[in-house]
Amino acid sequence: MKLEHILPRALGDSHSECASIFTSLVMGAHFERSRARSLGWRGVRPSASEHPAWTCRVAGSGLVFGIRFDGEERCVAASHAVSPDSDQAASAPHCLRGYFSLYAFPPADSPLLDSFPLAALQRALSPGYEDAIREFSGGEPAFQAFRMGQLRLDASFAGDALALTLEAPARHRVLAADGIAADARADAPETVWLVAPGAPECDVPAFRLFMRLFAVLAATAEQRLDEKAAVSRGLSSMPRMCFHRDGRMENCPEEKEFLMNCTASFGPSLAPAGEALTPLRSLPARYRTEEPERRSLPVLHVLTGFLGAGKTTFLRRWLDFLHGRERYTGVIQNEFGKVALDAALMKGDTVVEALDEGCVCCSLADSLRPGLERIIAAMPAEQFVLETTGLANPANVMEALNGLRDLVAPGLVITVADALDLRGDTGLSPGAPGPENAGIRRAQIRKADVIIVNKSDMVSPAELEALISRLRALNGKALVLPARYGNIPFAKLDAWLDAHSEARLPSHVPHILPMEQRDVTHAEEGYSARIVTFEEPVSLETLKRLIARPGLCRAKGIIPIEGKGICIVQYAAARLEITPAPGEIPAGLTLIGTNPAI
Amino acid sequence: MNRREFLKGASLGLGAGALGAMGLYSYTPARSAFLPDVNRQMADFGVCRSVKVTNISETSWFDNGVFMKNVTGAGGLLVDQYTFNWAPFGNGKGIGKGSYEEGIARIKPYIQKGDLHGAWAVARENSVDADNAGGFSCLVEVEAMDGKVSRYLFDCGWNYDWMEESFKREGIDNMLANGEIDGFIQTHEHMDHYWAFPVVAKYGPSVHVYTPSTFYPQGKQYIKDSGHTGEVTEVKKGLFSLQPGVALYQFECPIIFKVFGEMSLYCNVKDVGLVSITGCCHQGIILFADTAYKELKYEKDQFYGLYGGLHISPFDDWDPKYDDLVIGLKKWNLQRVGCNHCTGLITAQKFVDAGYPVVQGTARFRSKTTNYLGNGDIITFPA
Repeated sequence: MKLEHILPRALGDSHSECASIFTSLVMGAHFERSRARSLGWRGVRPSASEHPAWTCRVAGSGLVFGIRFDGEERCVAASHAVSPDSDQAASAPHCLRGYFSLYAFPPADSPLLDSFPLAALQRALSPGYEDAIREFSGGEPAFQAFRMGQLRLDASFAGDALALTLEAPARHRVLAADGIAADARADAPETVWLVAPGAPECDVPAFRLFMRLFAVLAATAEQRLDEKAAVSRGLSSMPRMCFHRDGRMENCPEEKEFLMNCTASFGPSLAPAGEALTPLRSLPARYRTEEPERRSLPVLHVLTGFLGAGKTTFLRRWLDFLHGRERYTGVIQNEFGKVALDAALMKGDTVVEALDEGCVCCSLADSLRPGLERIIAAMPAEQFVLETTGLANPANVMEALNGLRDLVAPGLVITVADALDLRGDTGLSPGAPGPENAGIRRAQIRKADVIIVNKSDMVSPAELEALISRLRALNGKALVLPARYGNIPFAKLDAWLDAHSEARLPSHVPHILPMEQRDVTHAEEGYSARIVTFEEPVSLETLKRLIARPGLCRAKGIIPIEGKGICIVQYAAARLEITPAPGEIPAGLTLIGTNPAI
Repeated sequence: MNRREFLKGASLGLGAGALGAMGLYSYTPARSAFLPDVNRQMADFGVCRSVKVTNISETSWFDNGVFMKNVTGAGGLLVDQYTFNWAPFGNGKGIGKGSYEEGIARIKPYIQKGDLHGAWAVARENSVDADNAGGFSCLVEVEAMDGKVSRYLFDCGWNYDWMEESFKREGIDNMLANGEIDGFIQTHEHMDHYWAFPVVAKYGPSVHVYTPSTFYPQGKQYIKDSGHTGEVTEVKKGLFSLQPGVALYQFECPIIFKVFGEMSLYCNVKDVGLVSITGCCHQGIILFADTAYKELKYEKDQFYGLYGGLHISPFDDWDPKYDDLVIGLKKWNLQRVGCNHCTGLITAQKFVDAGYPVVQGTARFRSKTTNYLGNGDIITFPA
């Protein structure tokens, strides 16, 4: 056991050395998200107000935990003090003992809260509870009522021993000797009791609540130290507290509160003298991932959305989010038409594998495997995104992916919907289906696990609301998120995938069609693409004439425009965007639509 | 009576009564009762008049795709940076099979001659994707209350060729040679911030170097192997004062690629507020800002300005709606921001969209967006 694997320096006298060890322990486990998750971590937030403190969630518990560093002291472990061959004075401090308060914050609607102290319940029912938890260490007195246990961290100055100990009452019970009346007229004959005289004001199974958190911490230490912890438990008792109406607290002579502790230790024991410990064979409540084989394969998300809905814009923003957190993600891009404009736009963002001139949902299904193999070989990342053409039917793509289960684990199907395109006629009667209810658009909405309603700022709030309820009617299981320029709270995608790790995502539900019927493809809807190149700069009028042709629904490209130089041209849902791009190489204009003349 | 229903409904009148008194007790194990309480310390580290930051280079590497191929190919984020076979410590054995000792042996003769271009050429032969390397470095000029200007070189980049060119562009080579740099601050040991150190040592071998105390042995050896002869100060965790109004803060945190500890620079500008300069902010901007609030006394209690790369947090937030840098920084009400490097091109765009006071750059010398304070750009605090 080498403490330097967690903190690569000797311990000093900063009075916060144990906080440093704790920070390093937890932070070091979070370099790779999948590793942190397989240990059971479900999010951590440091909160430095006043004391070093953290809030976190762990797998298998609905609570938010608060951990606050209270301080540390030098000490001598029992094993060290009695060592007969030691030259040192028996009392010389040889380890540091740090204390951390543990807080348990159940969700406001959790029945568990009903057994918490009344002050805790009252705080939880007040506005802003969940946000205030984030700063629990800031000294708000009401949060004291959530403090239910303690974590001890012992570390030897020699760097050869570390121990983590959870200590909490088996049941944290405080008796209200005089009861607590529900109104001020407590002495009225018809007193209504919130807590009857002599009954417990709170009764919380504190030790059990913290056990999952402790198991995650101990497993994290095991991984960092590359050593199995020696686990033991102990029990001691203290008098139960009794509360009187005048505010007095006193020991309740008849009753005892049992303090339980569990220690995970590495190296020589650092237990204080007098602690009776029973060894355990393994760590109780240890988190085990349900599907270990699933974790070994990279996850493949599928991104769909009708022509021009904003898939690439969304993707670039998502990648920015992921890469800012060192979650490297490769992209397989498939475009309808010869020119890989999207790939050009993503240049330098990440590794992009382009599958061109065809569509993965039909003609390119066979080239998906070699494409995936190429990108996985080039960048063995933990996740990839397949960006399909705007005309791809995800049902057909999912079918193709079923044959690739040896390469990738299925992730989310995300459909970017275009609020402008789908808002329909302004005269649409309430409840009537809009353009989303037909053909490829419908297929993309129906198969989505997440629907991003993009360009939500381009329609009125009422139109947006109506559209969202129509989308929900088509697909009640998907997470629906309105977006502007493809911006969503991206962490919600992770949370959505996590929440559905056991229950099936809509995209994975087998799609049963009536006999003789196949899923719609864009070929049947008569879409085709054509590329127009321009030797000379084209005038704005010519461009507008070109895109005004009946049946044309999408145009994109890099072309020279009179007076503007080289520009990126994007056209979808009757909106034309021209962005000067001086450094780009002209690549022609791809026109996509249903008119054969295009 | 159901306590939840009661508290939801008629609780207000009860607050001062029995329930109020009840809330004061808590679980207090006897053992921790004597521990001293820790309060907001508010260290007074003086004031300065103004701060000017010149971005020498913020482009750590030029193609993210190539970089990510390197990282995933070598085994991921836990791999020791010295074993990647990145330049200049290549040994010709391929990705993930390098070592500091073998790498430095090949280039040391060139470094000793001052032929850094030659050293990098050798490194290029033996390393993976040497030309993708760029670097992070900036010059911080602090005007003291008496008008005297101190200059701190803040990190030194990665690629010898790129950094020598960038130093020359901003005149750093001459400043080092003329002893006009008062201190060289190495924020952390990462390759893109540190591995062009021989360029610093070539022009200013005696410059005073500040590093976190937790450099690994290779990192410490590299200072010597680069021909540096001046003083080296290893900064322990916490606050370290450089001059009135200017202090380093060492955050102890493990960082990807087996690096430990990162320093940031805090400047307290008279009548303006706190200005912070970061390398990557691996400790996370949330902890970084909270720490300043908790531990430092600064003008007008105003967190005024920020320059550098901004990592939001090393963790996923447990509440997905908060996992966003724009939201995370809102409460500080910053007045002047120059972001770049690892911030993210689109995050920078989001700052602009959200109305943050982002100082725009000029997107020159291979910087990619005007939302970044790019290579060769300058930001001053106050404006």
